[in-house]
Amino acid sequence: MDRTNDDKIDLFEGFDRLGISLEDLWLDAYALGGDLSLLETEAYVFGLLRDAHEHNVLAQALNERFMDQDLDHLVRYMTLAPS
Amino acid sequence: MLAPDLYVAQRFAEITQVLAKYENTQETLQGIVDLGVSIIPGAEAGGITDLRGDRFRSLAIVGELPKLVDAIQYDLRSGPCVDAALEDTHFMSNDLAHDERWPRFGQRATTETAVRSMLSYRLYSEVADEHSSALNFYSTKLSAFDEESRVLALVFATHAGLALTAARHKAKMLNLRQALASNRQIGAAIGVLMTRLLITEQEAFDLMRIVSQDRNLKLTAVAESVLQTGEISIPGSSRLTETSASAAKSAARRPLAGQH
Repeated sequence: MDRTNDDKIDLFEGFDRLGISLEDLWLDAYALGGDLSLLETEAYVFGLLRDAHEHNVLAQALNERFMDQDLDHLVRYMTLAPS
Repeated sequence: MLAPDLYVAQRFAEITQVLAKYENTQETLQGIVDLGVSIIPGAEAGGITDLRGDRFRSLAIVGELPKLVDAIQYDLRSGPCVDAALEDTHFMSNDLAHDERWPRFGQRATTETAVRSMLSYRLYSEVADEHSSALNFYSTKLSAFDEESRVLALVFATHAGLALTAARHKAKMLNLRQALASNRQIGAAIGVLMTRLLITEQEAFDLMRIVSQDRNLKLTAVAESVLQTGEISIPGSSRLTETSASAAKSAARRPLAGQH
């Protein structure tokens, strides 16, 4: 079933639900090509930084953990700004 | 009969040999509990409590008792395992029903389960990654643990902590190596898409994650396909190649369900 915007969750909620460490998330995001520092990762999780691409890398990292639990992509992505 | 010091030294050597053989963190955790239950006098069951943030869970267990007893401890956030995971010490209780340190836990545990005695140690690991852990032993008998249990368990918990540190170092190294390989593969796939579709790095990533979402595939699987075929097909479009760069750009910006 496709999820709509309303039932998607944000980075913090996804991170919190998974119960993983920031270091886990940082490494998962790095594996997906991300290049954030641990501190920047934390800032995105807590909504202090909101670049769409970096946000989406982290969302993908969390969603891949949810995939391992047979859950659909729960974490919301952001739309890229026009280049 | 060996002198007590020699006896402990001999067990010390056995512990090191056994714990060094495990290949990964979970095997090491289970091995620690298996071996602990077999060598600590009085232990009938065992388990490792893990605390990350404010969440407790049991990582490895031997016997049925830990599941039942730990669930009560995690519910009340009180008990020897909880305190050992939080504090720099160990706890021995040979009569849980009347132990004044954990009155609510003791009453519930002895009413709802057969547990009567417990022995819990903080399990040190250098590579704790925001975890703290406790190694616990359980018995259905009153006064199950004595001084010998206490001393051996202390030696054992120290060695177990070292074994766990080594296992976590190994796992961390492996994870970093895998992450590096995956990072390179995804980077290469992004490079292919950028060159063929004349799109930015961010757009290339977004195309791949859209396909990942649509097909329920990991990004590495999408990247592998891109590297094999030089192409990517996204929901609602025909297969994209260098002739459909504008379609790729718009796809990367098309709000899908779940975007904002």
